[in-house]
Amino acid sequence: MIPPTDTAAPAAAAPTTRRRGTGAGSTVGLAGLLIVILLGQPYLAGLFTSAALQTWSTVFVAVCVQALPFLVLGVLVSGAIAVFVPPAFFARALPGNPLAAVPVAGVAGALLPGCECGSVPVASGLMARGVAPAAALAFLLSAPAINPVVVVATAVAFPGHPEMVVARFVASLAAAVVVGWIWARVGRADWMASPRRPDVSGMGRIEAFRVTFSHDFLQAGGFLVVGGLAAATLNVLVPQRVLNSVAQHQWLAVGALALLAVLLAICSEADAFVAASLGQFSLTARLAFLVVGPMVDVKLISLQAGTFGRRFAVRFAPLTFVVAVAAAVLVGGWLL
Amino acid sequence: MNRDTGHILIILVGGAVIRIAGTDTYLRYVKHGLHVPLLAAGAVLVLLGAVSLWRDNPGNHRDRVDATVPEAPDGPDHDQAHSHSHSHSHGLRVAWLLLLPVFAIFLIAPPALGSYAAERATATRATPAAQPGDYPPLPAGDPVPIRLDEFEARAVWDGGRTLSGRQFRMLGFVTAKPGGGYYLTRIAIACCAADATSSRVLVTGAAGSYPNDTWVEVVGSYGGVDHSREAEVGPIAELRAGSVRQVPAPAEPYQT
Repeated sequence: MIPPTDTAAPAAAAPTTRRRGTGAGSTVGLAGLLIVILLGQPYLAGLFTSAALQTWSTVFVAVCVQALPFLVLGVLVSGAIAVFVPPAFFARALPGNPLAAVPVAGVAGALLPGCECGSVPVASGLMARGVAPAAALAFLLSAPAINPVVVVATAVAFPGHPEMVVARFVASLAAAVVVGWIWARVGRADWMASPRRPDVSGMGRIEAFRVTFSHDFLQAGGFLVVGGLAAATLNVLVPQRVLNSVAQHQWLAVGALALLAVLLAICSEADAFVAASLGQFSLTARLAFLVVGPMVDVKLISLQAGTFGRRFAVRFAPLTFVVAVAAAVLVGGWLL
Repeated sequence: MNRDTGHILIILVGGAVIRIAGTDTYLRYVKHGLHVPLLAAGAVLVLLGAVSLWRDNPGNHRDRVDATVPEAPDGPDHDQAHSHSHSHSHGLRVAWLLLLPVFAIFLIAPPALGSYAAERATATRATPAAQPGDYPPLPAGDPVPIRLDEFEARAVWDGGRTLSGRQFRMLGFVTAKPGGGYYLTRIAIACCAADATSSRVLVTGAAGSYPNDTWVEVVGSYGGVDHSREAEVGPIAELRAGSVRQVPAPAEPYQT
C-alpha cells in the first residue's frame, strides 16, 4: 500500500538497542506492583495525611491531569503527521533553505491550539517527516505562546493592557525565530538523539498510527510525570514571599520572574493569569515570565530531554532561556 | 517494558482520567472547562489501549494485520518488520512513572487545596482594572451574597465605600490566623491547582472557632481593613460576623 513510512528517522536505529525485559517479565512486574499497592492502600494513604504532602500530591496530580488532554492531542497530531501526511507536503510547504523555513515554521505555530506539552511530540513528528530541525524547533517554541487560545487568555488576564498581548506575541515569535536561526547555524545533528521511533514498516496506515501513538504517548507521558514531580515540588518549596523583596529592582525582577517561570512550569494557557496577579512587578518583568514560561520550564526540559536526548536539552534550554529573556526585555522596552 | 504492559498502562491512565472526570473529583485539580477534553482524552487512551492489547496478541490479530497490508512484501522483509513491531516499546522504562499519577488518583485521591496552600500563596493580588470610585453599587439584598475576592477588592482598593451599611453572606473555608482568630479563605485557579491564588477576609465579631479547612458561611458587615500582618500578607478586609454556620464543602471548591 505505502512504502515504509519511516523515511527520515533511521528505522535501523530501533533494532540496535537490545530488548530489556523480554516476554512477560514486565507484565508480571506490573501485576505484582498492582497487588502490593492495592493491599497496602490503607498504609499508603496514611502516609499522605500531612498538609504539606497533601498539597504536593494535589499539585502533582493537577499538573498531570491538566496536561494530559493536550499531550494526547499533541501525540495524535504527531502520529497523524508521521503516518498520514506525505513528506513531500512539508518539502512543498516550507522553503528549502532552513534560514527561510524557520520564520515560516514559527508563524505556523499559531495553528496549533494548546499548550506546550503537545508541541514537543508534534515537533518530533515534523522532524521525522524531514522538516529541518531548526524549523521544527522554531515551531516547538512559538506554538504554545502565540496560538489563538493563549492570545485570548492573555487579553482576558490583562484587561486594559492590549499592548501586553501584542508584546507577548511579538517577543515570543521573535525569540522562537532567533533560536531557530541560531540552531540552523551552530546546531549539530549529533546533539540530537535520533528519536526512538517504533519501526512501522510493512504495516497499514491505521496500524502504524496506533503503534506510533502508543509508543509516543508512553514516552512523552513518562517524561511529563517527571516534569510534574519537579513542578509540584518547586511549587510547594519556593517561598513565594521572597518574590516581593526583588520586585523593586528592575533587572533583578526580570531575572526572578524568568526563573520563576522555569520553576513553576505553569501551562501557557494559564500563565497570563498568574502574571496578572504579580502586580508588584513591572510589565516587562511579567512579559519575561510569559515569554520564558511556554519555552523553557522544568516540565518541558524533561519532555525535550526524553524526546530529543539529554545532549540536546542541556544546550537548547539555556540558549532558549537567554534568547527569550533578551526578547522580552527588548520588546518590553519598546512596547510597554 | 513489553507491549502488553505498555497497553495496560495506557488503559490505566485513561481509566484514571475518566474516573475523576466522571464525578466532580476533577474539579479539585482543574477547571470545569477541561471536563470534556478530559473525558475525550480518557476515552481515546482506553480505546487505543484496549484495541492494541487485542490486536497485538496472537490469535486475534494475525489475519487482520495481513488483511490491512495487502501489498506487504512476503518473505524475509515481512518477518523482519513483524518482529520489530513486537519490540517497539523497549527502552521505555520512563513510562513506568505513569503509574504515579494513577496511584495518586486511585489511592490517595488528593483533596482540593485548602488552608495550607492558602497560607503559602503570594501576598499579591491583581491590581484591578477598575479605579477607586469605579465600583458600582452592590445589588439589592439583605444579606448580599458576595465573592470573597470582590469583597476584598472593594475593601482594599475602594476604601470600603460601597460596603458600608450592608450585610453580606460569604462562603469559604477556615484558615487559622497566627496568634488567634481565623480568615475566611477561598482559592481561585486559572487553569489547574498549580497556579492557585487565594483571597482571605479576617472574620471578627461572633466568629466562633473552627478547625482549619472547615467550610463555613458567614453573614456579617464590613469591619474595615486589618493591617496587623501587612508585611507578610498585605492589608486584609475584615468581616464582622453576625452568624457563622458550618456547611458542606461545595462541589466546585475553587472560586469561579
